[in-house]
Amino acid sequence: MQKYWTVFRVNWQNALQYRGPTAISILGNLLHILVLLYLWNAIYQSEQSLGDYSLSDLITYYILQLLINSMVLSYISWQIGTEIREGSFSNFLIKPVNYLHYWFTINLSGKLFEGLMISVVGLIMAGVLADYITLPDNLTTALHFAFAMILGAILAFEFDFAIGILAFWLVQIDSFKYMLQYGMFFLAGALLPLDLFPMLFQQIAHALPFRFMVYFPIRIFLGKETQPYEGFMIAGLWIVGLYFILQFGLKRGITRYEAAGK
Amino acid sequence: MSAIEVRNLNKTFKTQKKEAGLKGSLKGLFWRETLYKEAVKSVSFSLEEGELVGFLGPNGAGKTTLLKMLSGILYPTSGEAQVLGFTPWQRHRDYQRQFAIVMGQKNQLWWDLPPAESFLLNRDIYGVDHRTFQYTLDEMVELLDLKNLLNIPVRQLSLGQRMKCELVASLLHQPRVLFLDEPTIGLDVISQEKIRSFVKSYNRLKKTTVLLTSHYMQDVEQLCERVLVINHGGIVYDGPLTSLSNRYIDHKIIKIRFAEPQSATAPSNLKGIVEWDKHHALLKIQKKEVAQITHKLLGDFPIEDLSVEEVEVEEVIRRIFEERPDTENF
Repeated sequence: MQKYWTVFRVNWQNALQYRGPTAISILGNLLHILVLLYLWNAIYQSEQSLGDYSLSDLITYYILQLLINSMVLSYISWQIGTEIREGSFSNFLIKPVNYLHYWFTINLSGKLFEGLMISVVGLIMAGVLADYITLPDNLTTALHFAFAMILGAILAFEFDFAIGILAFWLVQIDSFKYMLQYGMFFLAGALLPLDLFPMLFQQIAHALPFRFMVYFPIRIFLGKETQPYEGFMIAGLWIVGLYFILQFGLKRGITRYEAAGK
Repeated sequence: MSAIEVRNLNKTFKTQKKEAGLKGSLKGLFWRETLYKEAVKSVSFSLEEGELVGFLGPNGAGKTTLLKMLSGILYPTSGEAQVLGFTPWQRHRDYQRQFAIVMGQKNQLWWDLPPAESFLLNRDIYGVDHRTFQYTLDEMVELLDLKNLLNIPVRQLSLGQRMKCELVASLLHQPRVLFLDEPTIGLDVISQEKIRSFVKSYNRLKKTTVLLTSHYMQDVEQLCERVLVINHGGIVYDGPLTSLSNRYIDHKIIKIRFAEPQSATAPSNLKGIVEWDKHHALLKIQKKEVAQITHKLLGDFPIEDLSVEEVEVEEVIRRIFEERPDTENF
């Protein structure tokens, strides 16, 4: 355990070195969210509500989306891909360390760091837009939301890791990566609440696990998911299942890596 | 028991031709053209504990491939190897804690952090206890003169400083076997010297078994008594560096400085002339004829200085590499 704690700490140090770029990327997200808010505000001039979302629901949805983008969604696949492609992955093959656990720790440390930074922005925004925000009315909802965020973050990591280790089989994963990542985030509800889509799309999105990354936690926060236990269970099963699949995939990938001689 | 035992090790690379772009990657999922390259061919050797042995060979000879197999980074096509009683490619945790590989062209230090952070990380990855760690670190910092660099971000260090730190990072867990792959590549003469003397004293001090590859002759000449010469994937020589020239070179070099100017053209009755001018001459003479020709030279010419020299090791190596026909079937 000690070694992963040190990995966590060292990556935290590293993140500190990058606080400038992190702040800029947060500002970029913020800008994106502000444009969307402006757009929705315009739409709500003529509509009372869309689906079961009031204007303040949607504003809350996007502010939370800002938080989730920093704390839940994972963006480590490009680093993993580069390590595998350029051969620095060898450093891990010779050391007593598990690559999956190693990257889980790095990601966790990075997400918490970013979360700390985004919280400041989020609180300021929430203050400015206080009148438009739907807050949970009880502690249970807040706890449910926090738990859903944790599950979502683990799932997001697992999927991103899976994209990363595709590099064992494909020399250039970048082209795939953007396609997969974009599709994944879309199905997660990062762009729009999933229940605003046509029925067929909703059913597909519901059958897939990506919704647990964005849509599900925000629904809980908005008080629209008061009995989230079934969701927790399904997400939990996905997490465990994916864990074994990833360990297996990693093993297979290493066999390929060994053969290729990078 | 020997520290490293390699028997009949082979590695054939199967590489696949791939086309660029998304279309290429998709196509690559279903169909690929396969190419084969024998990087290591029936290699056998063994190293005793505490030996410092040099691996010599040109680029692409298979040195790195061999080291990678012995580190468990690569899986061999066939053959066996035992390092400290472990089969390297099984990557047993107990093996990983006892060896290290330093690759001059790859780094493990965190680029944006001071080396001290990477050292701490390795300490805990290898589970070195804090006191041993501090002691080992202090010792190496002293030997390599790194005192003031530990808290400077790696990206601000020079290549030589970085290489020294890479060495330290790899040795913190006090490996019993150390593989060094081109540790002095790209370094200036002073840094090269520093690394060399460090490796030498480290090997003496800790009785660490060291297998070193380099294509800088000086590395091998100064560090290793025994060399393995590898070319086109196979070992062509295994033995002391000193007898390498006896085996491959059948001539010596005679250097002459004349006491008074001679004719600018070389006399036609002398064989083996490589260089000739009014004041100097250089001859390449078969070993068994050296005495006789030296005698003749001393009689025929006014000679101020004459020396008989062994061919330089570098020249010997070049000979070995040129001798073998190119058999690459890539």
